[in-house]
Amino acid sequence: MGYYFISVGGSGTRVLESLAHLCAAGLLPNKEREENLYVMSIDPDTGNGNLTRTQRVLNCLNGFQSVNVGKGTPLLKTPLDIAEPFFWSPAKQGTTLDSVISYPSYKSKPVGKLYESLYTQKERELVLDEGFRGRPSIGAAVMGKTATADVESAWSNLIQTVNSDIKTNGSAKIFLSGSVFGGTGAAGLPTIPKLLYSIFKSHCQSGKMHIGGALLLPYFSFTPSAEQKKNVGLFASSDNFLTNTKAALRYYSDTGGSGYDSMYFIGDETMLPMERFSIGSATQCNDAHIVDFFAAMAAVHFFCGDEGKHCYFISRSDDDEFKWEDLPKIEMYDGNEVSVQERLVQFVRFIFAYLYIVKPKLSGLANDKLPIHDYPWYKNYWKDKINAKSDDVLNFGQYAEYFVEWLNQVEHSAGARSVEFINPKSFSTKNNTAKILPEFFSTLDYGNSQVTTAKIETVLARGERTGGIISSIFRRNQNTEDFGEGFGLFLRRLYDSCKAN
Amino acid sequence: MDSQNEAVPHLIMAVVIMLVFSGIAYFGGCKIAAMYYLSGNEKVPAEEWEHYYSYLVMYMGIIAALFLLLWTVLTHWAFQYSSSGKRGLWAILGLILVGLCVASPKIFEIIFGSEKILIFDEKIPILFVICYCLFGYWVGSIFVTSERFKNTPLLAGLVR
Repeated sequence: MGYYFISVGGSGTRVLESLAHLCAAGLLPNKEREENLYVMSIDPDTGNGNLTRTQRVLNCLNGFQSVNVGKGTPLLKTPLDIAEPFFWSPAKQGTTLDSVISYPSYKSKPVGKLYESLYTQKERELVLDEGFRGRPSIGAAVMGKTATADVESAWSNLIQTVNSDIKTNGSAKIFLSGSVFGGTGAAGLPTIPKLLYSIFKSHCQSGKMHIGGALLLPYFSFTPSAEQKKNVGLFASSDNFLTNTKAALRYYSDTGGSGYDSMYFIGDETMLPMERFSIGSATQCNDAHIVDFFAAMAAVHFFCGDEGKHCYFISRSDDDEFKWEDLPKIEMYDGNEVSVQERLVQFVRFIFAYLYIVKPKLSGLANDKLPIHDYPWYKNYWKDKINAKSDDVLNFGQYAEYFVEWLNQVEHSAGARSVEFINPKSFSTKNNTAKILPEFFSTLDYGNSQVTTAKIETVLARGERTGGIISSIFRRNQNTEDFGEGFGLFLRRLYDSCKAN
Repeated sequence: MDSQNEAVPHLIMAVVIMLVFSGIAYFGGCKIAAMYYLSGNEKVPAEEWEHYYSYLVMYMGIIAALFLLLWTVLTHWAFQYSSSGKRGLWAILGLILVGLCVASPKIFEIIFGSEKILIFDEKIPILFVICYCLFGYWVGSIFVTSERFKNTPLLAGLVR
């Protein structure tokens, strides 16, 4: 089965960022390195800060996913397939609604007059480089006109990949995510599934393809300053979020799902105020939010779930806290259930261990400024085996930093409530994300494990392929290929050493 | 097996290693004494020599065991990756032990050696250095050091 994720708008892109991290942590249900996660983004605001951030995470992940970590591990088990081109913009540079629907040629006709009555002049002449400014009516019109497989390579590539996937693996699942209360998401979420359904009608009807969506309800707000209100012209207003949402939900209710097999509505009763207001472009770069994480988990759930139509709901055990107990178990392709906590926390430890135990020591060890005999992991796995300046190593190091940044933002995204997934004390401050405090290894997930820095160092040092006399006698017959090679072997050992038991 | 769990077997192993080499030092010393010191020496009865020598071996065994246990404890609980100089400390502990192995027979000779009850030449200190330092401390430390610092004792990388 092939897995496809299409983010729609800025909020959808943030969900994609969360999903990319869950994918790296091995939370997708696929067979090891056999089924890909194909990702694509839809956003008219191609300079959007959220999109740029997600893209850099995906590029980093893509940059080291070919490392050989061996067999029998969830680490990097889902290859990422980034769409080419990664994002599709419904509106080309400098486009206005007038130009998209060729208004000048209809100007004097009755249909032109009808068009004038539906949209204000400001809306019609708005340059769409920075998105639809919270106006789904503009977005829906533009997407309906421009999203055609014949002319857009992003769509034709997606269609080709899905078709070949269904031919090879028998089925495909496409998941979309975006907000129902903004501009791009609200316009694209009802439009894109219909387009997909019309393209893959035979596959959908034969049950070989399923479409799911996480539709985000309001969970943040922002307040532009008086000066911004005066200067930016049309902009999305969080005052309209609830009204937009009500209208959107009524639409989905009336249309019976609008082409979706499964829908996940995820929002928050508290609308967290954003620190900065932006109409779009690079400055629209909002911190990751717990709702993004839940929406990404919804995607995982959809990829894991059976094909029937179901109505799911998720609740919290405590109004003021988000806890591991609130998350359901994930069913893998072979029917085994996996605890999200166990797998994600092991991945967090792994990333922390790389950033805290390994990375700070590498340059000192390479320059002989630190004694190699005190760092068996370096002698066992790294020295003369790994090029520290290779793309794999550099991309992984960068990815680890991005992961910690994301995790820190999620941990601090619930306002007055607390997110009790990873102990926030593990980070020194909110903005200094790279500084992780090692003494919190043992209480990383609130004391549920006994994994300490010393334990990780010990297990990592133990080694499987050391050149010692005793090791070579007792481990002669061990199949070391199962543990990968080069940088992959090192990552595998580090990951294994971070296991709770 | 994590660091805490492996520490206890390592501590027990350190004590056992020193007990074994104390036994070797005792029986080896008695053999050397029978061959070189006591044969035809009527002033020093073998039983009396062995009685004092057993104390010397016991004290030296305790001291060497303490050194090995100290190293074990340091590698399991005290050392951090952020500090270097661990091999230097390991070497200093070993050299102090060598000094004690050389000096302790002489000290015993001074304390109890009137009437030549205990006479030692270089053979007993050499035996002590071999048993307590070379095998007891050096080789012993290779096996009782925490895995995190398993290569720190000299040439440990060849064995582990």
